[in-house]
Amino acid sequence: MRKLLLLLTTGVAILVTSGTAYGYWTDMLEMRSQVPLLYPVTISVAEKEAVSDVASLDITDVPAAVQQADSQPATEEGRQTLPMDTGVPAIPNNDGAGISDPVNNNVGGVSANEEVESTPSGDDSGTSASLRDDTGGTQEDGGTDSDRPADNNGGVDIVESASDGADAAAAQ
Amino acid sequence: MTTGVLNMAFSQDIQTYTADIVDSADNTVETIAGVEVQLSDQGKVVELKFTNGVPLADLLEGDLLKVTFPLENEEGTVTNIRECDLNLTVPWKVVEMEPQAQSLVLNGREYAVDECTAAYAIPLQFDVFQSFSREPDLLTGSLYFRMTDDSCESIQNLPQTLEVPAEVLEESQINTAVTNPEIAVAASQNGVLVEYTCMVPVGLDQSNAADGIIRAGEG
Repeated sequence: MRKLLLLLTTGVAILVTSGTAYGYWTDMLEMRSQVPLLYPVTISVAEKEAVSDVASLDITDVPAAVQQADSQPATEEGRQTLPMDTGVPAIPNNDGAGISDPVNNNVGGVSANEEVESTPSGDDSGTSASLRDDTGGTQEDGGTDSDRPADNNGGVDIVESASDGADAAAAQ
Repeated sequence: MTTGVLNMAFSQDIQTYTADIVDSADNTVETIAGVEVQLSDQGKVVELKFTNGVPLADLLEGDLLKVTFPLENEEGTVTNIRECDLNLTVPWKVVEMEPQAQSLVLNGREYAVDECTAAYAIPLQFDVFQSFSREPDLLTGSLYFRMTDDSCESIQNLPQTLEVPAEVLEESQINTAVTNPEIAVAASQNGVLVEYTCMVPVGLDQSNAADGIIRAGEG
């Protein structure tokens, strides 16, 4: 009997509580916002002169040559085109004569020619070298390089520096 | 147990809507001008457009964007809402602002350069707080937006410099002046303009206390 009374009391209490809760009203509105935010940024505009700078080096055909060197191993064709690009006569025996060419300061063309021969794997070294005005190291090494075997390390070093030079020139 | 109907709506008096930057003590730091208000769905929905933008630096410093709006009773038998003060300890909601479009603002001009500005279109999260006050004949609500720490960090990690090719700018100019000229002119800043949208529910509770409003036939 007591349990029944307890259950009834509990039930009534729950009903009253629920009724009170449902009788408590809420309403919901909605706000939509359109908010522009400006992130401050230092903006630099890369002008088109970057291309003309490269052109001023008189090596406008180099990009095509670079692609060719990237995709193909150095071949006899590559050996022929590089001196044409740089304006330096082909020097089959690599005696370094073209290095001192006062007309065309891109004496790297000579070293490029060396690189084509010394790096049969066909990386872009030879072509990139023609971009670089690296007269210093090349002139010093010119005579020596001609005496070296085809796989001399000196030529590889020149390739790396020449590639950097090419990138720098392109970046201008 | 039907005791009444609570049917509130945003007020049609759109001139009384305000937007401010406030500090954590609810002191106004800056008033934001150029807020367009548009009501829909019988006053149940309000759309705010901040045409002049919102000062980002203030939000990053911990200040809040506060939007204050008047409320009206729409044929409800329950005419009083429960007051509540600003409590910054527990947010009412956490909402996410979604980027909808972005553009480049450079020297007072706007450019649609999506490929360069995509990195800046990041979603932002805000803690939202609300407060309600009632005065005779005036029920007012406020929503406070506080940028979360994570979003602040995300913004601070955005690139600070951007290089854009000149030819891309020439092709992508969308206006001789920016869509929101005040932003670029007032800030005198170049940058990336990101347009965000968000939706925030506004919860109203009935108050059992007397509302103090004297109506016809009363008093």
